[in-house]
Amino acid sequence: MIRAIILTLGKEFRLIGRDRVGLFMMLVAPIAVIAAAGFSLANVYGGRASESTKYPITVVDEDRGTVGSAIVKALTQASSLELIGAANRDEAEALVRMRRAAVLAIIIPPDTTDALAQGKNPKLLVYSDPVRYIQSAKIELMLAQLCRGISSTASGDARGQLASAAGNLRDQLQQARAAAENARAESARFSALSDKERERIAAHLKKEVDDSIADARAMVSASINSAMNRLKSQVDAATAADETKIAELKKYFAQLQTAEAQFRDWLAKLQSLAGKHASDIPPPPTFPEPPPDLASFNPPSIDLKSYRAQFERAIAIPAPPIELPPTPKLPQIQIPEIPHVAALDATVPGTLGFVEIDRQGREVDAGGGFNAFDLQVPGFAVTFLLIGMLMGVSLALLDERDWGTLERLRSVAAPFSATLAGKLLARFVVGFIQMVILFAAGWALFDVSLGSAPLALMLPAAAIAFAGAGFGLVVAGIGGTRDAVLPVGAIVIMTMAAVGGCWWPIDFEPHWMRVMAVGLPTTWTMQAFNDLIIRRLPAETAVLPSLVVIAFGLVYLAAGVALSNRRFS
Amino acid sequence: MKAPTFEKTSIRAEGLRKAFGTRVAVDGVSITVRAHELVGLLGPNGAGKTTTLSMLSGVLKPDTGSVSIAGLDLDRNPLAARRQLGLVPQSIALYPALTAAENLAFFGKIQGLAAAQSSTRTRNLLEAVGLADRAADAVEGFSGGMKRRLNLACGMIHSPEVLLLDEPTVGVDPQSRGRIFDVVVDAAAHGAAILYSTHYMEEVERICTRVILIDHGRTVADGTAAELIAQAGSSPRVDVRTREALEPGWANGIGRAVNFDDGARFGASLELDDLDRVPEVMRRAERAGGEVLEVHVHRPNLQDAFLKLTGHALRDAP
Repeated sequence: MIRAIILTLGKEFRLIGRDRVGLFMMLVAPIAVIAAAGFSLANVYGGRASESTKYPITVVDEDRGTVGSAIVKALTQASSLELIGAANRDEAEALVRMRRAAVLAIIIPPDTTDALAQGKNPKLLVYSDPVRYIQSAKIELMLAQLCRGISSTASGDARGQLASAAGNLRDQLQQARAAAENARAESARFSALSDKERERIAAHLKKEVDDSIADARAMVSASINSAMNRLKSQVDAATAADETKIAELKKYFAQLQTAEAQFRDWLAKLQSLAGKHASDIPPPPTFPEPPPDLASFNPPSIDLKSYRAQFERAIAIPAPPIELPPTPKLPQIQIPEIPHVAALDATVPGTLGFVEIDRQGREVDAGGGFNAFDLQVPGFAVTFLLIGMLMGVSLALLDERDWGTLERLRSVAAPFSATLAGKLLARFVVGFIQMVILFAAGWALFDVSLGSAPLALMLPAAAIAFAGAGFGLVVAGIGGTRDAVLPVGAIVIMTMAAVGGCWWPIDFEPHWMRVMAVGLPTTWTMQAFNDLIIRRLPAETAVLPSLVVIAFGLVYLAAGVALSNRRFS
Repeated sequence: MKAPTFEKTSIRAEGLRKAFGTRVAVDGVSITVRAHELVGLLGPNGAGKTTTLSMLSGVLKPDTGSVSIAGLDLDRNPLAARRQLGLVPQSIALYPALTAAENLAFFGKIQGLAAAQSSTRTRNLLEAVGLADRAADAVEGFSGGMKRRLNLACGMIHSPEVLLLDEPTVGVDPQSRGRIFDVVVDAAAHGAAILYSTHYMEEVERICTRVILIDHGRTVADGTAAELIAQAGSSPRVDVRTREALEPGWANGIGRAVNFDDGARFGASLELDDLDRVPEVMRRAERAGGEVLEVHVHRPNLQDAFLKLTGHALRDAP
């Protein structure tokens, strides 16, 4: 079984690889159709692909004022518009409604500028071609934004002028207050400076007096010192002779005391030698005692220091106190508070606007739409995938029957289900690769977004390839012949693609059609692709719709096998 | 042709019946083909030949009856039975975009051949059918004869014991036909049991050892070509063209004569019991018609038997 599937798979790949028409239909034709559809519908969906398109419009400036000039200038600079000249509003209307040379005519009535300046609500006149509804709506949106911008600018200017006047008044009051505060500060500074100068003068005077007194004291002290030194020299000279004599006398008495001690030793020795006659020796004479204070006697000295101290105390004249008169007090400057002027707080109401925010929180152009190819590439990839399945499964099975290979395969030693499985598996793989290549081509050629999770695109791609293979089997089983399969298959595929939102956003369709679309695998596939590519939702959002598509595939497969067994047995 | 020695029964079909709605395509056909036997399956359009082959090959399931291939019941053991079976459909059952070698390799491998076996058999068969030098060419560029030869080779790639051929020489030149005969006869010589469905009586007479004639879904005759001719009771026929118109009764006593006279061409066609009487026919025709311009002697053959047994009414396939 598996061997037969693999062999069939290999054979199918060879056949597909050599089928130039099939490859063309699979890859080149979708890209051509995608390019045509994408560029044609770019203006409907907006996005980058529409940037190169220029809408012809005409403008008649009857205002000739600032507003008219601003509008004409803005429209001239708009890259998506091409201005056609018109002399008056009749010609402008004819350009739109009769000659269809312009999508829209814009008339700026006279006195629009003055009316706006006076706070009135002037209106522009617009002539449009109802057949070109989409282009008209897009330009009118642009015009509305422009008008809002002009109104907003005018309001902004008025608000700015008012704010400027109030600001000037506030500035003048602030300047006056600042001047007063400056004067008060200057006064305080002058007062401080005066006090400081007064202290400096007092200190200077005190120093001068102190210096004079010190000089006088120095001179007196020098005189005293000189006199005292002379007196000391005289006293020292007088006492030096007395000190010499006293020293000799003290030396004599010291020698006398030594002789007395020697005599006493001699007597003691004599008495010892005299023995029993010692008592016969008469007592020696008594030596007189030297005056008691002789040892401590010094010549008298004169205490000149005390005299000097007394003299210095005598010349210690206290410095007289120096007291300057106080500086006069400056008057306090009173600064009044700036009064609150309510009129200065009055504001002109702003202009209400809106900004469109994408999922990443970025500000985007309002009504900017999306790259048309973000829808057309997956949509036509799905469409041509189904066409490929019609050719590759439905017609291929019929071809095999017509060639006789199917008969031969039913007689070989492999179950027919293996042949069928191999064929379907090959077409599934090829369909999936076709989707991948078309997405890659869309990315490379048409700048298609692959969303925030490019790998997740494989899930719905694989799901629709599986469902498509099953669908091809169903068509082969129902159709039975080439002549039946082609129209029936083509009609069903086109309906599935159109209703399922492959060619335009499903929200364009009426409610009843959207309800019907729930029963189509294309609807769920496109939901997954739109979520991933245009809405840039995370990968998990593609899981549920892909599972639904796989469920469709299982139903198709079961029905297709039953029908094919009956048809090709 | 030397009569081969037939061995085991390779194809055995009993009481096959198949109806499509109210139309009964095959009604109680029984067929037996032994190894080495090459059996022709004859019948007018819509007689049930292709339906019979489809039931024998397992493509169609009979309403009643049984088929065994190489001793294997096709219903109970279909894959093993089919492995011993080679079908050469009437249509060119080939993939046009694949080369001759790729077609052979694919059918060989899907019949269970290993890669090496498939390669060897592909080479040998391409040589046998005279396509060795076109092995790498896509089939879509082949002539009708080349496709027919390759179609035959694809049915034989796995050396089956049983070969079912459904008009394998339709639309081919004599050279291709001769090569196809050689291959088929060689296969029978190597032991294959072959059932050969065709409209060409001379092919059957030339290569088949036995003939099964079916009509209206039933077996009308089964035997050698000579046996069928004998069974049909066909007589030799002489066609004479004369200068002048022949008078009625000119051949009385010789055979049953049917004169023709369209104002420009004169003559007669008469059935004889014995070809020995041809000289007398010529003498009488010369007397009655002035001068004998042409004489064609026709011995009874399989086609005569076929027409005799199935009638001259037109048979358009449903």
